[in-house]
Amino acid sequence: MSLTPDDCEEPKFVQLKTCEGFIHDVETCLVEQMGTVRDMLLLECSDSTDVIPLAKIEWWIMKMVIHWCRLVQDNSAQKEARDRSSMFIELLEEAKGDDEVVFQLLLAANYLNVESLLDAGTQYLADAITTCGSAEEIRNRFNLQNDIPSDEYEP
Amino acid sequence: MNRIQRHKKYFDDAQEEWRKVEEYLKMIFIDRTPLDRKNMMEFHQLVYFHCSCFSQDSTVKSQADGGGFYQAIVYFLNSRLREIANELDLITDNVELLTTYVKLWEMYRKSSEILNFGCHHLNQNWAKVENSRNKNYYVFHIYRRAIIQWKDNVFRPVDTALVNAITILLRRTDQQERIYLVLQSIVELYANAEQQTVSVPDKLNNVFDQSVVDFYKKMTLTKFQNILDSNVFTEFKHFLKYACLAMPEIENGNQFKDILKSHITPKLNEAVRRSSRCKDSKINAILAVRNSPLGRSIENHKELMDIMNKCVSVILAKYSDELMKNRKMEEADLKNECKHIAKIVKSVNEINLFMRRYRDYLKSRLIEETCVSYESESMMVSWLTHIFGDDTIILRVLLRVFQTSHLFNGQLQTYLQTRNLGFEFNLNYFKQDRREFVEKCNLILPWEMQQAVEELKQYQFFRHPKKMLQFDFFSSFGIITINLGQTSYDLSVSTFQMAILMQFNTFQKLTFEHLIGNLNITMDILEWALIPLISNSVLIHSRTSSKLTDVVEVNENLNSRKRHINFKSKLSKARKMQVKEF
Repeated sequence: MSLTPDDCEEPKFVQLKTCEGFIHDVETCLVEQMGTVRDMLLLECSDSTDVIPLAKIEWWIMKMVIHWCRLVQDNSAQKEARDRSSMFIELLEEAKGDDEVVFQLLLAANYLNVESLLDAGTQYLADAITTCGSAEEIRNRFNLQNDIPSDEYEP
Repeated sequence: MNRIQRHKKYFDDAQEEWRKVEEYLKMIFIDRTPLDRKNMMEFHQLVYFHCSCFSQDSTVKSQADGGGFYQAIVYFLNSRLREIANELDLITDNVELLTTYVKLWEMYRKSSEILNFGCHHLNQNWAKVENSRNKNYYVFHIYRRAIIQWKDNVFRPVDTALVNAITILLRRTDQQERIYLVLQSIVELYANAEQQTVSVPDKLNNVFDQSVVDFYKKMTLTKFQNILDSNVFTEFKHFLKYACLAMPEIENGNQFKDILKSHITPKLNEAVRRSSRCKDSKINAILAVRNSPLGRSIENHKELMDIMNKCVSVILAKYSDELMKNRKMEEADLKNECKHIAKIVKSVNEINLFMRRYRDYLKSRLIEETCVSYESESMMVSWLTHIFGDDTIILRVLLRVFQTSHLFNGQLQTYLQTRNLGFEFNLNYFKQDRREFVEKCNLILPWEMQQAVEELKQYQFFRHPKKMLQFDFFSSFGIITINLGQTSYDLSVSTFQMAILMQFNTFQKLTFEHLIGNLNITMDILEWALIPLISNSVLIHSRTSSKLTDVVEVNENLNSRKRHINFKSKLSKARKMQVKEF
């Protein structure tokens, strides 16, 4: 478990730049949860700035990822997995998010290597798929088209 | 598009993507162009794209993307390594061989680290699936694969020459640093080998003479100390990972752990001191040391991390001691700090150590009467019990002993009032012990103090024939009045200091040898007790050629503004000064 000072008077920040050019100032203690960024900071780079470009992430998704990292830190690592699922649902409800938001969050979590968010998001999707009884129901639930060509379709 | 067309398009697109990746690989491995963060993330993104969403084709198996990519990287590395091997093949001079090998190895290793970062997604997803699902145990993450390829393509052709060069040049001091770097690289190769049936220490012992292995161990110890002294920990994690594999004694033995402890303890003390000056939270300062680059470097080594956790636990106990002596602290603030401390102690999992240290500090506070109140101590113990449960048993037992001692002392005082001792004598801490009696200190008390002992022995409780009385001279203290000319001074001193001062009721001057003989103490204890008295000019110390014949006498011209001088708090400083003064 990573212990971090509860109230950092002067926290260190890392700047993350999303694809639109928007820069987020993120505390180092939160960045530790993003494996990709954390590993990048350990490598020697030719430039001395702390701005890390994340060309695949949009600003609103980055905001949600940062919010998630803060929630995880506040709740500490000792919480059960079930609590992470309810935290994820809370995050979606706050953002009034639909399935598209879930997919974007998962892609971002995968890209940034935020394990806790990836686990919670995939569990959310897995739970949603489990409630469906057939492939057709899954397509209806997630609004997917049946794109299997007729010559390859095996009923 | 039909299936064949889709398949062809997949391979055409894959080649196009690979060309982009190859440009980066050339920058990293051949041109050695320093990459900025933008380039690194672009490279990372290329790999990510290739491994995650490149293929939308259902005719291509999901692992195929990663598999093809992995093979292409290995192929690239092999071609690069063959060039390096050709370069080394031409060298015949031992010194040049070592120099060139080290240079090429360092460059390759750093490049592999950058490659490993870029291939993070490949490692975390494709490689893991190959290992776990497809049971393909010879797929490794990219860094390890890169090291294995180095071993096969570069190291193997020159291994005999390298070993010979090391053995021949070992005695030359100008080559030692270089030889150590080569040995470090060899350890890393062994640690990352495909076959792990033989341990790294055994491999080293099989290949090298004992003198080379001993050299490696000696240099590792030196480097360990140097890194700690330099406070630069960028490469420490990497160094430690392989050093621990080659030398299990780093984690299992005491030498390295003692060095680490001697580095961490002053750091924690300094952090706490600095936080007082800057009005920062002391707990945050302690955590900052634990989470510092040093802490992160050792976090994967449990035995070493335990040292850090123990040091943190000890300093938290010391901080708790300061809190309990702080009369200005509000109850709510104290409770918050207590909760915060408890949370950290639980997290570092050193509850027993914390409790033992806390008990020692609590005992000192209660004996020396430096606590705010007995009630506040009792309240703190009950808060800690609420959090830690049965782990606080030693604290609760201590409080019970003090309560009993307090009652007993009350009865003793009533008895002593009838005896006309001429001085006060209090029993702050009295514990009954059923264990076999072991003499801890043979101090011979001066006759003036013997009275108190005799009265205690006469007191009915102690008349039991099988009971032995033992005094804790190291904790006990008192107040003695010294009359120098027209002025009187009240000195708060330890029992040892009191015993020394009382010698001067009879003697004008005394040598160290006399004091040791009269009081039956060691030179160590004598020096420890004398230092505060001498440095504050209560006694005058005259040196001679031999320490035993050094003389001490009372300073009749003592001129202190304070009439009450407290030497108890100066005793801990005395320990540090001991070596300097004498």
